[in-house]
Amino acid sequence: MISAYFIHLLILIGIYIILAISLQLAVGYGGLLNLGHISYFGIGAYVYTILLFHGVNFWICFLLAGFSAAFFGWMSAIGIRKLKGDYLALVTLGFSFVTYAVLINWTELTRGPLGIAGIPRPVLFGFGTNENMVYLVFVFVIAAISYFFINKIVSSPFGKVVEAVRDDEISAKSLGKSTFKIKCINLATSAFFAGIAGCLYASYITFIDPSSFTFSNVIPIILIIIIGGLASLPGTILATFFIILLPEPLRFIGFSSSIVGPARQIVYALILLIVLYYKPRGFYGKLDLE
Amino acid sequence: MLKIRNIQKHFSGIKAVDGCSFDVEKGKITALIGPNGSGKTTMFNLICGNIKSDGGEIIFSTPTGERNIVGMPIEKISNYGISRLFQQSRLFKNLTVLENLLVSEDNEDQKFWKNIFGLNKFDKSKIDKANKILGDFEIKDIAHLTAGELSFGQKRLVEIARNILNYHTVLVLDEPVAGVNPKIREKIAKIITQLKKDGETILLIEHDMQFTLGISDKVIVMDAGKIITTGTPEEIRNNPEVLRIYLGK
Ligand SMILES: Nc1ncnc2c1ncn2[C@@H]1O[C@H](COP(=O)(O)OP(=O)(O)OP(=O)(O)O)[C@@H](O)[C@H]1O
Ligand SMILES: [Mg+2]
Repeated sequence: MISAYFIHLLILIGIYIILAISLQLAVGYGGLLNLGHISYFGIGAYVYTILLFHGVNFWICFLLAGFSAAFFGWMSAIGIRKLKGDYLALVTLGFSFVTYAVLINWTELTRGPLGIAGIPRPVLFGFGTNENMVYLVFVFVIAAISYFFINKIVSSPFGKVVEAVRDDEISAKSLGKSTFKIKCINLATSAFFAGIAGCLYASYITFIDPSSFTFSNVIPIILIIIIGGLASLPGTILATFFIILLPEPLRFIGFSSSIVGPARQIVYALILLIVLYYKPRGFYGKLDLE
Repeated sequence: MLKIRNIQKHFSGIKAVDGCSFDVEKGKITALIGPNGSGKTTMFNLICGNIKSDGGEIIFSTPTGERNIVGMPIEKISNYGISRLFQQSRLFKNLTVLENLLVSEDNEDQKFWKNIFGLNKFDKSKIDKANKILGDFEIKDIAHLTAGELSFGQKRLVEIARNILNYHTVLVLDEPVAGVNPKIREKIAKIITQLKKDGETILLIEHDMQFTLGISDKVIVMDAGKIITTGTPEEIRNNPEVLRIYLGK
């Protein structure tokens, strides 16, 4: 019983790791305060599910979930071309509301608030993944690959240019960098991995509806990247475990689930306050919050 | 090399640059002097594409012929060969000194796929080049500090190194020695003298008269957005109008 629940938590952690390290790429490394990350997650989940129900091969659905999210990431970068800091945050926040509205209202495609149920788990190389333990392995393989790529990006010369644009865009331009293109690539890549995470989420839970992709769902992810420390991937991983596992004891102390939900929000808020006060750079962050 | 023709910039009524024309010649140091607020930095912003002009032309000898660069984006102008030092320090504060130099060298690092699937490090030749200039500037010891931790003088040295490494045919330097201590000022003076010997083309803004007149080939004096006189350092030193502007009426 406990161990089944623990496997469930580990699967969630795997999915959140992909979401958080991809958001870290945009926010921590790129300085693009993107509050719409959850939309890419949702777009990935829906694209995956809808294609799958049209009989498309799992891996194609999987990749298209990533690429369609990447497309919207690229579009967001165009939308925020002239914006900085707070404005960028506002526009991306708006984007997450728009995505939610589309998911709710485009009922022919998304079944609106009813959601889409009965999403089958994939069969991978002859292995069924209905067993959660098997699915956990799958999620961790994908999370590891995502980590590998994002780590490769941020530690490459390209990653240094991404950071340069974050630190001083005018200065980067003056050295001949096409900063706009760099921001587009950054947001597209970040969104790609969020889309992949959405696909993993949909096929794990086997049910999706728009309420999983609202703004409030992005808060834990933002919390993770702040607590892990901006521009630190190991910190982000550590913080994902921390943030997902920390509220769990509440459940075992015997609180009913109607209390656990709000209590979790309170715990998160407290953690954030404590971290901001005592350790403004998070676990391993390289930058101060600005 | 660079021909400025009747360039203008107004800020809601203030004529920051009011119809200026001058030439920057290849292999020479051209100095732009004038009191605070006379429009020197605005002129640099116009040349480098940081602000849109309200009229006039800037003709630059690019590798592919002469072009009017007015209205072009900053990065394009930079890639044509203008390397700018800002009046305020603008290093990438969370990158190390070495990384600041490495990203300046060329634009290979912007190529996403090449970075993902191919080279995942800076070329050895680039690192050697960066280390050489750190050695020349005697700042090898700070190579691995983050730029944000440096003193103002160290920042200035790193920024000048960055400008030199960045592809250029003209260096545009806005007050390279302002606000640094005498020792570093000496060092920067030496560096600029060496650049001159190497045949670099430089457009320089500097308030330090002794320094500027000592090093430049041609001096342009601005006041209230207009060029009031142009001449050799010798002529400028003895020009009563320049003295009047600088010493007050
Ligand atoms: N972005 C701007 N918006 C409004 N006014 C500006 C702007 N930039 C410059 N100015 C004004 O234009 C005039 C020229 O400023 P500029 O910075 O070019 O002078 P400067 O010669 O570089 O002075 P200093 O020697 O102090 O650096 C000043 O009156 C300044 O206030
Ligand atoms: Mg100035």
